[in-house]
Amino acid sequence: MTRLDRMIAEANPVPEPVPGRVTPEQERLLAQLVAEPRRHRLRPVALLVPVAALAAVALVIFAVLPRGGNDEREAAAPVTGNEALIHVMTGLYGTVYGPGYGERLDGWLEPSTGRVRIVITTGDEITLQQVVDSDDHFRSWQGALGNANGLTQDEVSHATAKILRAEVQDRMPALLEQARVGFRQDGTTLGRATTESAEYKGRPVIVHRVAPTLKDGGGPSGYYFKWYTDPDTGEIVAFERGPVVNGRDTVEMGEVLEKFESFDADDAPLHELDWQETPKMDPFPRTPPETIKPAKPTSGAPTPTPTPETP
Amino acid sequence: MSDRAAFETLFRAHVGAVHAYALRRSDAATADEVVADTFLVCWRRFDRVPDDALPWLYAVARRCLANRLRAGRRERARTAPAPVPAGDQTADTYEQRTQAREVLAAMAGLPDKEREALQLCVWEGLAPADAARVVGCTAAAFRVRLHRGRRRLAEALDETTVQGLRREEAV
Repeated sequence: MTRLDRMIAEANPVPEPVPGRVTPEQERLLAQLVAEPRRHRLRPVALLVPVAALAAVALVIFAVLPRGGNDEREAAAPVTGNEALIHVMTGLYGTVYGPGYGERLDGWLEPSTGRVRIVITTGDEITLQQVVDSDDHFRSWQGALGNANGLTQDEVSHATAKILRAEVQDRMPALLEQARVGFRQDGTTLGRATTESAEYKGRPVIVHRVAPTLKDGGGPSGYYFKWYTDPDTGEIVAFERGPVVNGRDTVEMGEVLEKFESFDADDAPLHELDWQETPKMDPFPRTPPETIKPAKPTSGAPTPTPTPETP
Repeated sequence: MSDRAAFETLFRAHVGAVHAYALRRSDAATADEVVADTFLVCWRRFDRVPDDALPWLYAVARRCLANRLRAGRRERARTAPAPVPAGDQTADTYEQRTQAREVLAAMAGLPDKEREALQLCVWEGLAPADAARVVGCTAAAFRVRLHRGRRRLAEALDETTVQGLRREEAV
């Protein structure tokens, strides 16, 4: 504790309470509180009807609409109600991420206005921040990779705003969809996903893997993407993509869903949507140039397809 | 353990800390109301309370306090430094009490976010990561606030000390 902290501590107007000590007034408050019905216990019951209706609609759509030539199955989108704020948190891994580049992603979305903020942090440092306002004004700061002043963007972009909203609202399916779009734009055919039961971080999952092939000639693209679903709920719990090196999948960008929560109007931390000051960067990269990793592709960008080596 | 029993355990463990949190930032009547509001929210949303409940409770109390103050019921509490109850002071000597008043006055001049950062870490004894959860920002942003708050407070106290010495010299 610094001297300043000691001075602040000594100025504390209210001494540290004795743990477990409850005054008679507080005992009365406790008795009143537990006599109060818990409103949120009723919530699941109240949700039964709309959930059932949504499930029926989803079933009809699934049964009636043509689904193309693959067996990929999507997890249902999370049911959204009248939440004031949505928060998604994922863990990042793979060769593109890591210390200095990003270990955790947090995304917030205010559904009523469309405001979004996405932050990637490593340790306690922000390495990427993206904000979308309700008018689709998009701002971005990327300070990873030794960018002295960060790479910035500041523009009105309806397409980017739409992508980033989807990335928070429905993070894991959005990653999957971006991979599909990117590979298709890059001249590959996705084909059928193979599936197998496996274990992911100690939990049973079903692994779905797609190895895109080149439209021109049908040869392997050299890349893959896969996603892991919960065998009971179908929810996507993780997503990975990257190159196939010596016949093995190498995770370039991996992401695991760690938290998805929503807040109602009473306790939504809406200030999470505010742009936060980004850290000043060291103009001299701490990482030796020869070890600097390739830049993280921007969201929605097509995945590059390597040219197959000629024998 | 039933929800009710678990809630009672949680209430008894943390009501003192939540009350102290509120009392450090408002008058006694408001603090009592904030405690009641906070644990009402906690009871109604008990299924969403994390295992490490105290930062969550502080976050709820913070919002409840803001609601109370926003409603304009006790605007005085927002601007006035937290009261130092007579006979309940942590400072032992006249010098310490004088210093405490100066520190409180200097803290009252800090931007709200920076003052809150200092209070959460020193008065509530939270780690920066937990305190960041209370105010709802990233740990990185919280550390920035903490750093700035410390720097600004140190500067303000230096000025206060200099002024105090000048007053003593004049006498």
